[in-house]
Amino acid sequence: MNPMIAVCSRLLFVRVMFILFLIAMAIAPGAPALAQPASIVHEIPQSIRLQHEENVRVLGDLARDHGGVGRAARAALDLLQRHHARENEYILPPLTLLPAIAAGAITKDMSWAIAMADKLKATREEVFFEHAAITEAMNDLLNEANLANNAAAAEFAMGAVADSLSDMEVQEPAAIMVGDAVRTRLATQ
Amino acid sequence: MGLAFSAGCSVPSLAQAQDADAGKTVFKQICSICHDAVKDRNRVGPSMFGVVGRKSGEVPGFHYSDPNKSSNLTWDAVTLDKYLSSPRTMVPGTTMAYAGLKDDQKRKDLIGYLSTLR
Repeated sequence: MNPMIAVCSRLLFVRVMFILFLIAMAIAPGAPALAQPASIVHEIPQSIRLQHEENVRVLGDLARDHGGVGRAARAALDLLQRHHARENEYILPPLTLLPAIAAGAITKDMSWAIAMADKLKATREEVFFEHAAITEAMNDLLNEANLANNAAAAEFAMGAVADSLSDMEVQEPAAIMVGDAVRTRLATQ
Repeated sequence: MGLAFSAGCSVPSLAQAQDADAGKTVFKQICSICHDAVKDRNRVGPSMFGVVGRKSGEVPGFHYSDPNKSSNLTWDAVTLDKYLSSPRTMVPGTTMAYAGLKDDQKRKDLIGYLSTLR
């Protein structure tokens, strides 16, 4: 047999065996680590997802400007997208449980929210300074918008600052409350 | 301008160095996205009209964070200077999303301008 073909056959055999091993482990009882992904991505509330998408779209449009508005918008967009990534990871997913919790239903499969809330508690200062950086960037955008008589950009910047306050006043405390409510209820079940 | 703190201010050197006109520019560039200088016109932050001499957390119609309400501060040249340099250090838990104005001169000028809002 051609040595090249032999090597390829051996590699193929090893791959097939490895995949069979993974399948066997996944269906075997007592193997939860392979039965589900190591890190499950949780959804965020649809209303907030839409709001984020709209903000990124508007800021992306402003970022195409070749002057000061574009420069400020690009800087703000970078900060906002990094903040959204953090929010999507562990700040916003617990909020998807609010309707169920409000209806009095807390179940064991909600326990993932506890770790997220704890992570938010531990990183609140980091999150705060992320908001401060976004506010500063929006302030810069507002100044450039005023110089360029760009009313739409100015309005967006002021709205984004209000969004940051809403995050701090409502969303972040609510996410922590969800985690704590789940923890408390599960502890008594 | 900038003499508003010369009477009754515990740090005369601060008052001497203030330039309220320059402070107005600082206010427009840094503060105005959240704060208005017009009386009773609250935005994301409370109106800055009459802030000097006012107690913390007392603007009508503005909902303050608990840390701000309970900070029990009276805004004068000294407390404003300290607060504006790092709000979160002076009032831990404040929701004022601002890291702080590190430039001493700009801070003095800004306080000079705020003192004219009455």
